[in-house]
Amino acid sequence: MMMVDYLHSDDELLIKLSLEGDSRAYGEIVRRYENMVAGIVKGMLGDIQQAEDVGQDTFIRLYYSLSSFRGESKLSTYIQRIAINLSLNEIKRGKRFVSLFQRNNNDDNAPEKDFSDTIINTEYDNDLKEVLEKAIAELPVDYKAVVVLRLIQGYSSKESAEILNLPIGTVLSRLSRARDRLKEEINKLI
Amino acid sequence: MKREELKELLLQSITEEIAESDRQILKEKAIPEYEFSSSFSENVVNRIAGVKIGSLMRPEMFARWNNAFLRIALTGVIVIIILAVSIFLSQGSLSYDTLLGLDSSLDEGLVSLLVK
Repeated sequence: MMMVDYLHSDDELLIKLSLEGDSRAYGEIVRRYENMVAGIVKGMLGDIQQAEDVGQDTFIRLYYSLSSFRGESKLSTYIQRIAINLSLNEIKRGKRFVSLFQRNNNDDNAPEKDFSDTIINTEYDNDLKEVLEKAIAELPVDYKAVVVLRLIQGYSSKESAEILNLPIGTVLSRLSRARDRLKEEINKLI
Repeated sequence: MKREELKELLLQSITEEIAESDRQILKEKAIPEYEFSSSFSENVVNRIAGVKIGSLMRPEMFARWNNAFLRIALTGVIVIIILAVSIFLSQGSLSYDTLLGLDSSLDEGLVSLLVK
């Protein structure tokens, strides 16, 4: 039986072994990309338990789509697309839940609650990392993905456009608007 | 670097390319780093293994249930045949009344009593 050095194997071999049912090979893929996925998912959703669940769902979705992965893009790009899509779905689901909750409150003639305040005004903190986290949480959904890819993952605009499958012009305009929104939010928080 | 400068660098880095050294400073002081729990990869592999075992078990479970239902149904049919045969042998017919056990009972209707 051939001994496999999982740690130093390239993605292609790990994918092949995973498709043959080698769970250690897939475990290595997960270990290799889990921090990258954590950056995207937690950057977009915040450091909450659902983010961990979405992270797990990303790798489970990847596992079941490995057979259809043709290698036209890098595995990391493919994983990031899944992570971004699942995070966007989670954000939309969360919004639906909040709007339903607010509607129920209105039905009972209760005063409308602004949930965004609970995110920002919990505690004044000077830590810029925390301020940035809170400011990103306040961004519109479309801007979150581009900002997370650019700021947290450190990708160029071109790379971000490739990952998001968007024209470069769209990414640049979103980044520009996102910067203005972030500036406002950061100034409010500091 | 002062916080105000750091903030400006951060905002600048969104739309412009910045030097690698500045990028490192931002990473250290302004950009949050995230990671999952230590058991993350193990949990993912276990979840996949769980789904696989579940999907492998399903056809086997259905096959077992099918066998059990088939045996119960066959036993029921055999019992019904034995009962029908025994009724036919003892009563000499297999009419609806015989099956309900009313064949040999007296007719207690008002008309039949008046006739008697």
